[in-house]
Amino acid sequence: MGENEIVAALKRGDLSVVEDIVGLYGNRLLRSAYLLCGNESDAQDLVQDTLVQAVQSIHRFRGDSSLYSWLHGILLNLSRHYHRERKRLVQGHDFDSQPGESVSDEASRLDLESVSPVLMEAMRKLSEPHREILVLRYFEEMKLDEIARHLNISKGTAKSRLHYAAESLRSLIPKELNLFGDSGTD
Amino acid sequence: MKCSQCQDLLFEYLDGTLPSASQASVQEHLRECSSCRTVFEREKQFSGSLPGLLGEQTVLMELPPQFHQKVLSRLERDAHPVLKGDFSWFEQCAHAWAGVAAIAVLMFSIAALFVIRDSLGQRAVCFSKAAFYRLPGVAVLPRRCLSDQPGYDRVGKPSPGLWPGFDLAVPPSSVVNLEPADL
Ligand SMILES: [Zn+2]
Repeated sequence: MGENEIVAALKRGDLSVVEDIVGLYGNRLLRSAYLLCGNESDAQDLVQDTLVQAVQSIHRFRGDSSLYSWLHGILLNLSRHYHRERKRLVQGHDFDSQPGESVSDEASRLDLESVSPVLMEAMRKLSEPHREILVLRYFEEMKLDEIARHLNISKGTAKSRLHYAAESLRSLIPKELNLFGDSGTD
Repeated sequence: MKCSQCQDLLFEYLDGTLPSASQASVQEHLRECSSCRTVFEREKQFSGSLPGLLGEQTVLMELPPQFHQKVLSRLERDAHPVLKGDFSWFEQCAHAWAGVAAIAVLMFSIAALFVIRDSLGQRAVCFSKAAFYRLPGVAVLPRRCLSDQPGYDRVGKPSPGLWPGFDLAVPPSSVVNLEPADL
C-alpha cells in the first residue's frame, strides 16, 4: 500500500492502515528515535507517541513533504519534549551532580572493538541541536535544504550548525580510533 | 572564487543541489586550491563513515511484533479519555470498577469523618469502629484521637493532602476492639 492510500484511509478514519504504517516506517523511526534519545525503550515509546499523534492529526498533513518526513517531524518534536522533561526531572531530583566526564578519558582504554559504545556515548554527550542535525544529515541522509526546512532554520544556520556539530562529535571521540578515517588530516 | 565562498558551498556541492555554473566553479577552485580540497575531503570521509557507523549501531533494532496493536489501543483509549495506561480491555474494565468502588468508599469516608469531627468538640477520643477506615494496613483517623490514644504509631508526618485535622496512622490491633466512645 502506498503513501497516498494510507493517508486517504486515515483521513476517512480507517485505522486498519496503522499496521501498514508500522510496517513501512516503524523500524526506521525507531532507529532514528534511538539515536535522538539514546535509550531503546524510550525510543519505542517515542515511536508509539509519534504514530498516535500522526493518526490523530492526519488532517494537518497536506502532502508538501513525504509522509515519512512528516512523521519524523512529529518524532523530533516529541524527542525535544522528552529531553525537556528529563532535564526537569533530573534537576528536580538533583541527579545532575555528576560532572560531564570526557568520553575520551574512558575511551582511551578501549580498543577498536568498542567503537559503538564510544560513538553512542559521544552522541549522547552532544547538545540537542547538534545531535539532531547529525541524525538528520548522517542517518536520515537529508540534503542541506531539507534539513533547513525540517528544523525550520535558514540554510546558513544549518551549515554552521552542521560544521560545529561534526567538530563536537570528533572532539568527543579519541583520535586513535580513527573512526572517520581522517585522523592524519588534522 | 574565494576560499570562503567555496567552503560555504561545501554541503550543497556534495548534495549536488547547486546550479550547474556554481557546481563547475567550485570544481575548478578545488582543482587549484589544496586547502579547500582538504576541507572537502575531510567532509567526504566523515559522510562516508558516520552513516555506516550509525547504521551498524541501530540495524538490529526492531519494534516488537504486534506493535501496531499498542498504537491502536492507545488511539482507542484516547478516544475514551477516562481510562489511561497500558491495559487490556479486561483490565480496563477491572480498573473502571475498582475506580467506582474507590470513589464510593471515599465518599462514605468523608461523610463519616465529618460526623466524627462534629462530635469532637467535647471529648478527645470519640471515634467508633464505624468511623475508622482501613486502607490496607493504614487507617485515617482524627489527629486528636491519635495524640490521645496510647500505642498509636503515626506514619511519618501528617500527610499534607489529607483533610486538615486527620492523619494517616497504622493502628495497633487493640484499636479494632475499641468500643464506641461514650458520647
Ligand atoms: Zn580555496
